Amino acid sequence: MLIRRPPSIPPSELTPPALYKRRKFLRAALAAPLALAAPAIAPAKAQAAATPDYAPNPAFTMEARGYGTFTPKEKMAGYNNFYELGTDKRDPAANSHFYRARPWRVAVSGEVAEPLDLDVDDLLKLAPLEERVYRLRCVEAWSMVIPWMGFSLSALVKKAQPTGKAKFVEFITFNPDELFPENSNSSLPWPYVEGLRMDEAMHPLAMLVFGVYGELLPTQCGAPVRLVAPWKYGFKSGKALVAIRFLEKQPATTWNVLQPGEYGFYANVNPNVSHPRWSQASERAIGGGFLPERRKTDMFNGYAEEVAGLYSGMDLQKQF
Amino acid sequence: MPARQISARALFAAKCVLFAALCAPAAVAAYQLPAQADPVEFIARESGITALRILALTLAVTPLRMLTGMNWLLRLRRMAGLFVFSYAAAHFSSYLLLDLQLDFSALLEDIAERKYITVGFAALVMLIPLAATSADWAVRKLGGKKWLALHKLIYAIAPLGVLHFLWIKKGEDWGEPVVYGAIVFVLLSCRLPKIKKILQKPLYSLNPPPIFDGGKEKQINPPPISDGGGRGGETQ
Repeated sequence: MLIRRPPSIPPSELTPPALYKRRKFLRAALAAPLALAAPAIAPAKAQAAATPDYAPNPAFTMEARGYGTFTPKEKMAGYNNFYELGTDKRDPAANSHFYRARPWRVAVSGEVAEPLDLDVDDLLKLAPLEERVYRLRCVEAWSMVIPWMGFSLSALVKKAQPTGKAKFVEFITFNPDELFPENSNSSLPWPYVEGLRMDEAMHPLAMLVFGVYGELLPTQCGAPVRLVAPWKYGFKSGKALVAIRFLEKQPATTWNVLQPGEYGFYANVNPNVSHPRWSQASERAIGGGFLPERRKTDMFNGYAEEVAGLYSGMDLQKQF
Repeated sequence: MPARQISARALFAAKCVLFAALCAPAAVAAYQLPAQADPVEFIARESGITALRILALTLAVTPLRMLTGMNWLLRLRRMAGLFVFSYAAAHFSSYLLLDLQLDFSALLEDIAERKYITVGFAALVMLIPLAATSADWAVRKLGGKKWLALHKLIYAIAPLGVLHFLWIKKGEDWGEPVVYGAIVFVLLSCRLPKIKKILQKPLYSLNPPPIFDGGKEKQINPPPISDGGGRGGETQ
């Protein structure tokens, strides 16, 4: 497997070159005997799809966005809110064996001219894969800077050809009670449902994500396909999607239904709207250092220039 | 029948074992710390849950003593109580120093507006006088009765700690706090006079202490075991 390092990451944040070269050598050394045994392990290889090709989007590099801190892969892949795999942020990595991300199908239905039922590896070929470094802001007042791999959700929307009735898009995660009943928990009513307004879904920033750090998504990060809407709190970005539905009415989204006073449907990052559990004025930026750095939270998580127009005329204090 | 009292040497050994056991959670957390993505959240969570666990342990001493007659357990309780305070103080300090980075206006806002922090802070404040009066001289100065009354604060602190834990949880992730709540509820119920009687009875009726009284043996009613109490146990 070829691991491509995104050139946008400052070298200081990455594996030291000497170590990287050694790893490359070790990988090659390990691969040689494996290649000889290739016929024997062919089925296993078929299941773990190769890392697809991708290109960094120059508008979303560390430099272009002026991001100072970069979150190392180990931290990002070991600290996840993915309640299907457990409620502690270390659980998803520990329980990543609960399901296999391939083979995987995604159904696109509802108010569309062309309903789709795609294998995730075909879905992934719908548009050229790009890498974009986004800041992820969790509602729990911490953030990470992460290089995602995928393409704008709008590519899928266009392919499905929503009808004039479609006003919202609903994103449905797999149901753990069905996928792994023996390991399921009851921390939330399943399946997890999230949603966007149609114009939000069409916004180029909204991304359908298949990989991270130059590789396919690890299970704990929402493999094999997830949403990333970087101007919204992380919970808006559903993981391990099995269905995308186009609706006329606003979908009933999980956290909003459970605790409407705490989690709004829009959930746009907004330092001026305090959450009952966390002041949202600042955040812990989880970077390369031992202790996260406290930074002020930006309106729309720093994407105001791009997305503020979507909400003109709305009272963001009330429609949070 | 388990020993009601143990020798000074055995007690010292028990204290050493308990000390090590109560330090262990901190040692394990320190070992795991370098691998944490968010050490701030990790320290806060580990110290908080450890404080609650040891608090349940201190509440278990009296019921256990009533059931088994092992009065010497009481002499381990002060150490456990001080560990509760230490972990709770570490919990609060990590939040104030590492998370809020000494932003006192944010602290006041949190205490006033976020109910889980309000109850958690209240529990911590109530722990302070208990820790401050843990030494023998404080018992002497206050007098046994006053001291006992003051230390009954723990009956309020424990439920507040559970509430703090419950209100932190999001969604319907109530399993753990409910278990802690049930344990604290049962342990506090043991203090109710009716339940106390039931707990004390079987021990003595099954194993009546033989008393030599003018050549003939007879049964006497057991002396009531005072709750909370504790300090009485130490002077026996």
